[in-house]
Amino acid sequence: MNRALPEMLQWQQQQSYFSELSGVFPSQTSHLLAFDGGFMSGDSVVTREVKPHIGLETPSPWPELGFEFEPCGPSYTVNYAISRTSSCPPAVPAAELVSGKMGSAVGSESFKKRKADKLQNSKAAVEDDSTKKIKVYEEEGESKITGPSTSKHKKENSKVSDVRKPDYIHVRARRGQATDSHSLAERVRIYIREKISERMKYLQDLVPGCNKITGKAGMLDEIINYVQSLQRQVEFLSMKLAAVNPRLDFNIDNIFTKVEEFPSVQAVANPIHYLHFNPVQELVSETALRRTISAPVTIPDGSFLDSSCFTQIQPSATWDGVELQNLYNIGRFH
Amino acid sequence: MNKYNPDRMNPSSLRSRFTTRFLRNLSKIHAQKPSSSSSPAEIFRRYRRIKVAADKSMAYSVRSRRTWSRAMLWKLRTRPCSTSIRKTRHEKQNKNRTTTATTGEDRVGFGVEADELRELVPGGEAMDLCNLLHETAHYIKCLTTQVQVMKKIADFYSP
Repeated sequence: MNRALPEMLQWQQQQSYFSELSGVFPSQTSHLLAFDGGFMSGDSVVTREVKPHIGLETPSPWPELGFEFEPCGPSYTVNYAISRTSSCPPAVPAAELVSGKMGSAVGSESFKKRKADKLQNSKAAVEDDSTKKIKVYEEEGESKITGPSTSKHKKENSKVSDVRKPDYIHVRARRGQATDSHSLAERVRIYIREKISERMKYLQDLVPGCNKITGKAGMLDEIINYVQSLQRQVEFLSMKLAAVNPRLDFNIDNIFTKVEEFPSVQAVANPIHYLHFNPVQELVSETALRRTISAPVTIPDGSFLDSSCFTQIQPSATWDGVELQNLYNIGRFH
Repeated sequence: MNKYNPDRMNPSSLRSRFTTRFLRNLSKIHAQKPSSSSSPAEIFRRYRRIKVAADKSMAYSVRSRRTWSRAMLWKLRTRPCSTSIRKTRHEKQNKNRTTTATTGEDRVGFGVEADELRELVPGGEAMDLCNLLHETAHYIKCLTTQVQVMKKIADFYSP
């Protein structure tokens, strides 16, 4: 009830509303001036008093917010201070394009605030509110403005909170707009999905051969296979190192200099080895390779380097360094 | 070919850290037993130790900066001394974490594969999908470094 009433009044009293806003505005400029250029400078606020609706291409980081409600009324200067707070119906299309999420986020904040201080809001409270809102607003924007905000803008209608009088801060929901919790949850979900897709893209660059696969599931499979193959390679290499006889000159520095040369050369061979195989086929071909070199040995899937398997190999295979080297070379130059 | 040595340029890179640690451990292992005996059992034992050394060097190079390295270090520490107390405590913690981390929302069409990935990446059971992917990326990077270094060492030894 308390909610509905202000909203009704809002529609009826637009003109008086704006005139009152202009009264509120000077008190809020001081707060604006206190902020960094992250929001906008005090100068710009003052100078824009007479400018018409400039559109959204301004250098200030919050152009949308600043110009959101320009064409509303005669005193659209106030809109800077109250950009998140004011609106008028004709400005809806402009508002939609712009920072919908921020407006709604702040709107929800203000909504809660209003619920808390229903009857006791003085001018001081209003100013506190606006400062708090501006701050919240800034943080949100800095973290999220770089994201694909345009899609969000078009998708979501902004919920706008209005400063009608110096006492209240109201929230005016647009038609068909979901309630606060839903839109917040929706926004959270969208954010998470974006993060996930961004990380999948990064993984796509890491894992070779993922460019052709476009589905999420397929890519995850590729990633899993790649990790498995890498782990198997580590096991294989440690086996090789165990079998090899170290030379007398186990000089760490020598090894170090040799080892650190050509970091990228070896990396190329591996992906090639990995690329052509499906998970099942890879095991089969790996085992086939090994069978060609060593004595007929049964190497079961996945347990290639298990202890049980090793005891099987024991009688027949000769795990010499030479043979391992051959095996390895075949794998490398495949 | 050029004698360009990229890791001398950056002594604190992941690769150089891992290399030094691993080489140290490797020399220790080789020094313990004179490798005259090339029986498969001997080799197998050494292989096990080398594998552990590799994992340990990698995990120590990353320290506690990543969840997977922390999980791996924990695993390495509790592996030899199989105290039941520590294990049950960790299992309880793990269970709590898994129930809270994997909500329905995170499984946006990822289902089975995410579970597989969780098994592969150490410490992956207790992470939601977003962090899991992040850890996987770093884990893959470290694994590739590991493989490259070990390959070079192996090549150096067997001409």
